[in-house]
Amino acid sequence: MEISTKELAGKVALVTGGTKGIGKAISDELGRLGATVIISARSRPDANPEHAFIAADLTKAEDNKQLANKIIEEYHRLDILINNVGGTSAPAGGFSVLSDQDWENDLQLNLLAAIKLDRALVPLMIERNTGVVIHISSLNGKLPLYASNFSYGVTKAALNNYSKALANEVASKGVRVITVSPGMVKTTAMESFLHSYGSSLGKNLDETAQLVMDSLGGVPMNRLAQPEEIAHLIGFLVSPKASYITGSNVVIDGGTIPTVF
Amino acid sequence: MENNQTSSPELKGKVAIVTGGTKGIGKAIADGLHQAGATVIVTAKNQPTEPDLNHYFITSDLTVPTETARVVGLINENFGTVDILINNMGGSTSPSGGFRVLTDEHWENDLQLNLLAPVRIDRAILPKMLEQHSGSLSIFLH
Repeated sequence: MEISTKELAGKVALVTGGTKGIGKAISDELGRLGATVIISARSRPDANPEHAFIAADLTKAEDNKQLANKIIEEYHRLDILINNVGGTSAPAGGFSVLSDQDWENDLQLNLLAAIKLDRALVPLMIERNTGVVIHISSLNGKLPLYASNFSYGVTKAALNNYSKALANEVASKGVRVITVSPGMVKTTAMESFLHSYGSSLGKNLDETAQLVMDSLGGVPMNRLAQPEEIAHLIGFLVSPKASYITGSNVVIDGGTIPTVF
Repeated sequence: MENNQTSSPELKGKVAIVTGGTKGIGKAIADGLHQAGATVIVTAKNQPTEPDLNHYFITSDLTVPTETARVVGLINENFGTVDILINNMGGSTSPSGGFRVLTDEHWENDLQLNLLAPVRIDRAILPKMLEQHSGSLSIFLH
């Protein structure tokens, strides 16, 4: 009789922003690997019956706390925390057009949401001396793009530094913390960004994608990533196979970053 | 001889702001800019106990968002366009002890002091420098 144990069987995983794009692909991948997956998002997905869902706007302190409490009360453990929620609604146009509110929103969504959730849930991992925390950052955190994504990149850079510090703090307590920095990924968020950026320039989606790839100095693979390609990396990073990986910022960008740093 | 006594100081006629310029690195920078001939305006939360007659001083807590416009307005009114901006102010009053002990307020304070205050000051001052387009010296010690 063949017994195949799935790699993440028995593990409980939380994926924030897990109903769409990269977050959805990660949720599905972790489920496929055997984990019990809980997803959070502001609004309930139309169809995603295979995962438990908790509604939360993580930029709100109260929602953030409630999500953590529900995990603690209902599951009593957390093995995998994917801080995937992020994004920006700040306008393009450089430093002079970004208001205090734009900066505050990006800080809440890309930095403080993860900080608050980690603060509530990482102690649960430390108690059991096991766990993996992933921070989904962005290539933009290493590669500033002032014209299109100024504050987004700054807040992701802050997330990178935070993630490294947390990794160092909890490494001896059995918890691994890893940053993942995707380049351009074909998500609905990316498509709507390309659409609005492109329409301001009078260009179609493909032309705009090419333009943005060119602005990054060219993407050697000359295409966007599929969300599943990011999810496969995450599936590996949270597994026991990656047991010596912590504090790393893993770039997955089709070769975009032109330097060796 | 390299030391030419008739040469005018390098930064003569330049207007410089040094945030957090009453102590430490900020004070040393302010003194250096003054020695190089610049008109130096120093900001800090508290007035120094011994006033430095070489610098103009504006009392301001620039972590308060509305303070940026007031301070930059005062400077433009009295000194004209800023040539040199030293975003020196920074620091932390957060406790040590790792991720668990840092409250939302600690994070917010550090973001204001070390990131958002300089962002606001740059946003208020840089457009005039760019308009001037005269290769104005702008140093950012972020």
